[in-house]
Amino acid sequence: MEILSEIIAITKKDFKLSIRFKTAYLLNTFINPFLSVIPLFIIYYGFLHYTGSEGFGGVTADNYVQFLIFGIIAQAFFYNGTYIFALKFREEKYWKTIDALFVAPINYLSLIIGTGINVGLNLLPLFLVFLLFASVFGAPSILMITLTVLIMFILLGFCLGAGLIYGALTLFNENFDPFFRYFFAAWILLSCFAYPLNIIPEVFRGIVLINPVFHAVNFAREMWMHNFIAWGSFFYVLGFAIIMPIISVFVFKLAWKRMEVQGY
Amino acid sequence: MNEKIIETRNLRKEFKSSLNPNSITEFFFPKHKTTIAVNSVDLNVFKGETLGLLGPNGAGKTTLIKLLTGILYPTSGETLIKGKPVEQQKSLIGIMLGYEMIYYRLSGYDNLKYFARLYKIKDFDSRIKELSSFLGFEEYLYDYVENYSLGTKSKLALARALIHDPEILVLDEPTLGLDINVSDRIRKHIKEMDKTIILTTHYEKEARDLCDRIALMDEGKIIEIENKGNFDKTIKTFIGLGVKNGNFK
Repeated sequence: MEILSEIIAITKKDFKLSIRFKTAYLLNTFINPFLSVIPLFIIYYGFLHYTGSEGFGGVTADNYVQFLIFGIIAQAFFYNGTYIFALKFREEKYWKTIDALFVAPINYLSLIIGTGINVGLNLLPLFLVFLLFASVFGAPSILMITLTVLIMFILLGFCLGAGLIYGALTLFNENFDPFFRYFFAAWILLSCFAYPLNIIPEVFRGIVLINPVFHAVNFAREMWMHNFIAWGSFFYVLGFAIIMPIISVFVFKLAWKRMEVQGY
Repeated sequence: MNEKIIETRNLRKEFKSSLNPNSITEFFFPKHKTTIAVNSVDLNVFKGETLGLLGPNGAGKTTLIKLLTGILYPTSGETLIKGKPVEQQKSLIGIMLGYEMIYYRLSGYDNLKYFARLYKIKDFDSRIKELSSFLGFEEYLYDYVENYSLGTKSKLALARALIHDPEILVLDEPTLGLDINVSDRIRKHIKEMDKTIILTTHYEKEARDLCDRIALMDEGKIIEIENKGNFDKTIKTFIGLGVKNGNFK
């Protein structure tokens, strides 16, 4: 399996580059993700316990922890998946190693998979701790845990595809960068990571409902909060996760043919 | 030495750049100028030969080798490697662009292992040891590349290009910035290789020592190609292009 050799090469290389500065790597992996979620828990806890509110959009004092946990996990997968290639390509552009990727006879899908495995490894501590935490608030079945892991990695595959398009276009022309950032910011808002669908203005709800990222979050939440497996959402996300990497490889190759790497 | 390994047909590469990057008007309404880096290049490289590309700075040598290796796509024309488009023949080519294309934050060994795996080399460990010993940097193999001297970086870059034992080796100024001893050693290694080699250089000695033919480039065009024995004429033309003697040692 030639592609396997490429995937192993890319995963190992990325991992070794990331541990060049070990203290920074350990803190960024094990501490930083948890710091960013504390404010959300404080807000939800305070609102649901001290204001007398019974909850909103199906989120109550009994289930807000699980609600937030799956939003946070999905957001971490979304963020890392969409931004990784832009960061990686920019580094490699200035290190002048990007040309080595262009001349190597590789299948670009292995670039997505190899990078994805490394991103997955970096997110694993956050994922495991939060899964354990969520389990305290409900007794999950093996199926639930398996499907949660699956949907998050399927989501990652989709986001890596979107990320490769972003990475490719910004590699060739950095003017694209802010536009993608605005687009991803809007995408985060329409993915309901930190709030339920009901509080989004009605006019935007249609967009949320076609957003595969929302379906991934919703799938996990429905399973853990209401013991319901939304297979429709699962296959909807899976379909996007299969198509997006293929489209992104096509866009990457097209951009390489039509554009020059500018700015180095 | 008659089998055609590399063939370019009417190869042309244009770059667009800002006409006046400091102008405020052009910040909002950019105007571009087109630079022709490689212009109508028809070149044949034959099996086993070493072809030198000479030319003043900006002549288009590096762009040409990037086109030959598939790093860049041409604006028009094509490059064929053994009769097929270059993008289908990437595994036949090894390229060294000075001491670029290596990861300074990895060890020499990890660099070579990474590329060996990309090129699907099965017994990469012995290949890495063989190359590091051949090029004489085995004692630094497990150190971070950021701690290497320029000469050792160049040797590693050369090893990277050779990791998959390519039929064609493309070297862009392989001894640039290196002291005489290291340069001589690298030249010796290049000479010992039984490969089709294209190299760019500014050094007369390098061109004379290593090349079977030299092609002189200026303003994106190949203006002369000569075989060994007629190098004096080409070098004279090169100097006649207005390049100061000091730039051509």
